[in-house]
Amino acid sequence: MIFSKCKKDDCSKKAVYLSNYCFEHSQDKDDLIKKIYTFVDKNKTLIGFNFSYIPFNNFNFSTKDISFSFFSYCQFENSNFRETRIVSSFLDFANLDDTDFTSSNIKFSVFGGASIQNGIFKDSNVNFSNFLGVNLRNANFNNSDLGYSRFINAITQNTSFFNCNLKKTVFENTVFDEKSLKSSNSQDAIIINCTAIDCNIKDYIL
Amino acid sequence: MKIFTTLNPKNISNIYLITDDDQKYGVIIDPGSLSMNVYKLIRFTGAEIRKIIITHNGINQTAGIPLLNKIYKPEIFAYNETILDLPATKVKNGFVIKEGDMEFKIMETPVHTYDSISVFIENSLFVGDVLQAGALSSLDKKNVPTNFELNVIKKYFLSLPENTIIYPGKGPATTLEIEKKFNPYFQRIVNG
Repeated sequence: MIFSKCKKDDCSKKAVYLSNYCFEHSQDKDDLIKKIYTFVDKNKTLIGFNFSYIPFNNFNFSTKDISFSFFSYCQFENSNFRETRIVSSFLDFANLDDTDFTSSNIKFSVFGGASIQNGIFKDSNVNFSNFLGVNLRNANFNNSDLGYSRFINAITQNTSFFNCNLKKTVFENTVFDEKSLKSSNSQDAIIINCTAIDCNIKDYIL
Repeated sequence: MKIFTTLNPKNISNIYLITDDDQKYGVIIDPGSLSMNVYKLIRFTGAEIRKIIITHNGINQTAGIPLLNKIYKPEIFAYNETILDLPATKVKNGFVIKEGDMEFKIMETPVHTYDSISVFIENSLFVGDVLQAGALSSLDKKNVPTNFELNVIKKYFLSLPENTIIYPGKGPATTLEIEKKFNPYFQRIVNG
């Protein structure tokens, strides 16, 4: 979990794993990507690695145990995170479109600024996590524990939080529709300046 | 430097343990309790707790100090000269706390309380209750930040590198980049 700085002068980014440079300044990117794929594929437990900006599209992370790691600005389109444990990790500004997190266990992790269109988080624990400004169009969080997570300025069009634990979950400037929070304890959530389409926002707050 | 996070189970606030690369020495920020999970974390790292930094003098930040003091006798750093009747080294703007090769730089950030400080080390910023991801605290009872408080944030936080990771006293971590883009108060500052 020791991150060295990119060796390129004036670059403040962390060096990516298996390189002395950040991904942008690494020389043979194709070779680096191949080596990283092999490493990630072989290891079930990933603790303290920086993989920021690496494309992981269609990659299988299912059942892996990931902690204290950086995946900022990574591409994860159509990747599989089913039953994955993710703790204290950063997936900020990542592209997670069509990604499946079903039955995952996520804590203290940062997804701020990510695109998670068609993302599936059903039957998961997603606690103390940062979803600021995420694009969650057509996402599914049904039957999940979202306690203490923060969805501020998130786009939640056609996103369902059916039957979720929303204790201290923060929604601010979020748009809900009739089915968004059905059967969830929305009275325990913190709902600020949100709007509702085809339903009464007070039904969720009171 | 390594950063470990655990929860104070009593009030669900964060307790941070920062160690050197070899996990020989540790500094705890805001030990709001010394419950079993905190103690297990310290034992897990094997670090000797040399110093405690308090981001403001509240029970959620200090309740674990008496027990830590019995076990490790750490030096306490805070804006106040005493914490729970124990002597503390008073820190001010620009004060640097050194532990091994780690250097914790202090910023006076009177946003949540008048004695609130923030702590910067490498690219990590520990802000106590000054902010949570997407929100900003205030001295005002209505919890609406004033121009004075927004200026504190502008002066101290917005001048930090974009890749700064922010570790609040409550809730998930965030980054300066995320806050600039999605925290309504940061947006107000950035947009003038």
